[in-house]
Amino acid sequence: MPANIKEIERRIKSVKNTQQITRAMKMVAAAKLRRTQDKLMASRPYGAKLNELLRGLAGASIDHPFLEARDVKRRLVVVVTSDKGLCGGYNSTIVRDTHAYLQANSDGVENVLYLIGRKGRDFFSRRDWPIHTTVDDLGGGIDLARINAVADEAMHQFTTDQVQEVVVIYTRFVSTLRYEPDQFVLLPLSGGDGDDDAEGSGSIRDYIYTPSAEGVLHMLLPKSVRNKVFNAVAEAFTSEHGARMTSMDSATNNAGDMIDTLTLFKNRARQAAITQEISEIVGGADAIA
Amino acid sequence: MSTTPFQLSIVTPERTIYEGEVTSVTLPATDGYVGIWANHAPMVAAMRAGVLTFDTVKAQHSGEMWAVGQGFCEVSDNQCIVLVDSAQAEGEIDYDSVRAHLARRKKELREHLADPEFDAEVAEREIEEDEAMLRVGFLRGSRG
Repeated sequence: MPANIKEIERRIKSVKNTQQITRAMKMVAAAKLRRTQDKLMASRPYGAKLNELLRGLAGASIDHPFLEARDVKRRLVVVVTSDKGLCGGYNSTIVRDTHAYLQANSDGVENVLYLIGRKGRDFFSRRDWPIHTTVDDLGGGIDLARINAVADEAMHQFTTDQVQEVVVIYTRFVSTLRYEPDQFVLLPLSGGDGDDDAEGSGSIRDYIYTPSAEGVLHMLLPKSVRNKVFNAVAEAFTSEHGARMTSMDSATNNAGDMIDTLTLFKNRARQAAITQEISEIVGGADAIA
Repeated sequence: MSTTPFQLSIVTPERTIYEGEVTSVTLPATDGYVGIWANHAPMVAAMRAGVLTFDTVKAQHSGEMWAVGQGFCEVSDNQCIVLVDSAQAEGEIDYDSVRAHLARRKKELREHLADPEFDAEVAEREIEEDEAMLRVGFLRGSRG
């Protein structure tokens, strides 16, 4: 540890500066977290209703290209990371999981990456997998039109048989302190989402379908794909802001601890200096006497 | 005219845009406009972009007009839920920019007719939405 009082004071000052910055970043992340979380919550009713309509049609056996499983030769993997760092293990977790997924699922299949977020690009641009597109200017903002474009591109590639499967890897938002990497097969769509508990099971009724059950389903499926992508991105971005807020909070606390320790050292050094001075004076007086 | 109220909600992917009691709704289904009153039979309708109008309980005759995008409508138990890509109240429409956007998209669509990379479906959808918005202005103008 530095013994010089001046030097310790300089370090305390510098740590205080850092603390101020991390505190500000925490505040910004908290504000963004609230905004994205509000958006995420506001988008829930639409998705819930859409799934309900889909479930109502699950019984009808209807053919649609999105439901058709084909031999997978090429797979589009959509990965959602953040554009900016300083958010703890958020990006490394998702990148590690994606890497593991790609290594486990490369037998006879060409994986093509669709990267959302600069951090994902930074990692995968130095790896073996071809990158189809990178979107690196969303900055954690939930922009419906931009996210829909991602879903539309995925559907386009799937229907034109350029890829036979689309997988999305993202981070699921559990709470401000908890977020989990997650993945799902976007296309082909698996019939009827089984993940919603049997709520509303009593509401199965005879609907009049206009123009027909088939017609409704044909329109419903693309909307559902868009909604799934939107939801995944919204959850990932909410997690990102949550992760940044938590990591900046702990950085601020760490800086506080460091300041405490340094202040202790400073006082100790000051006391040592005083003690030394006194003993010198006493020693001098003794010598004279 | 029926005065029995029922619930209407207009929901887009981003948020719930409108929620309230109404006495009648007219909406653009894929095969023509559909009118809904209270106690309508359970129905699910696919909707194209168009003009959605409804009469609120308070103002019986000055119906509200909205330009909506593609979507669905579900009616059951005196509840009408409209799920649409977008919904614009008439006061929110900026007609000049809509006209400009419409002209640009139409031109793009004409130029890229033979291009397989061009997503004509998206362009057509946007054109429909723009036309719906302009129609709101037209209807409002003619209603005087």
